[in-house]
Amino acid sequence: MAEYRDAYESLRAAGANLVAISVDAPEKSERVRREWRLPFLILSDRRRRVVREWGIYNAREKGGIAKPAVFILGPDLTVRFVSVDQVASRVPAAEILRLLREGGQVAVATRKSIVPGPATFFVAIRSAFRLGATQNPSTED
Amino acid sequence: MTSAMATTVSSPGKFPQAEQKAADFVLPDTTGEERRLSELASAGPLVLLFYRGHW
Repeated sequence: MAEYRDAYESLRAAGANLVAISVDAPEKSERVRREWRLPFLILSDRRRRVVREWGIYNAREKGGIAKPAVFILGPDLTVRFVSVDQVASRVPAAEILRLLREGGQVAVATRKSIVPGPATFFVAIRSAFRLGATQNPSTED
Repeated sequence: MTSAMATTVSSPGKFPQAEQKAADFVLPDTTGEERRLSELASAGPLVLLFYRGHW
């Protein structure tokens, strides 16, 4: 989290936004946010609904928590990058920043942790966001 | 109709894969305000960080 906090300004400068999620109660997350001086939103999935639906629920620990995971989503919620780890580590913020900076191009990739081979890391490169950003989210009611 | 309900995905236990559309959701932030994922993402790429929490 501290690492992503430190990368926050750079992520914003790269045109992206950052939001965190855990299963903690909002009050607890607010304490964490202040303590760590986190400049981004933290969402509370107390009922474990989203982590279950998104398949990143770790039922074995601490009464059920989120696996460390990072997604990059386009404006239409298309997944441009996904990294799900089993334990405590996560994909480094620098890696996410690099993906965002690559001339508006982002790797469409799935990383499953546990030492992914570099060959499997990047499945394809797409100019995702520039295109995606022009698509108006007409999905609101 | 290509409108609305950009949801697909997610039989439980299977996380959204690259190039799939993630399921939208609404969750409260730390002030209790309800936030919709698709609105947070509408301005550009959104980096969504799931973390274990501080229990």
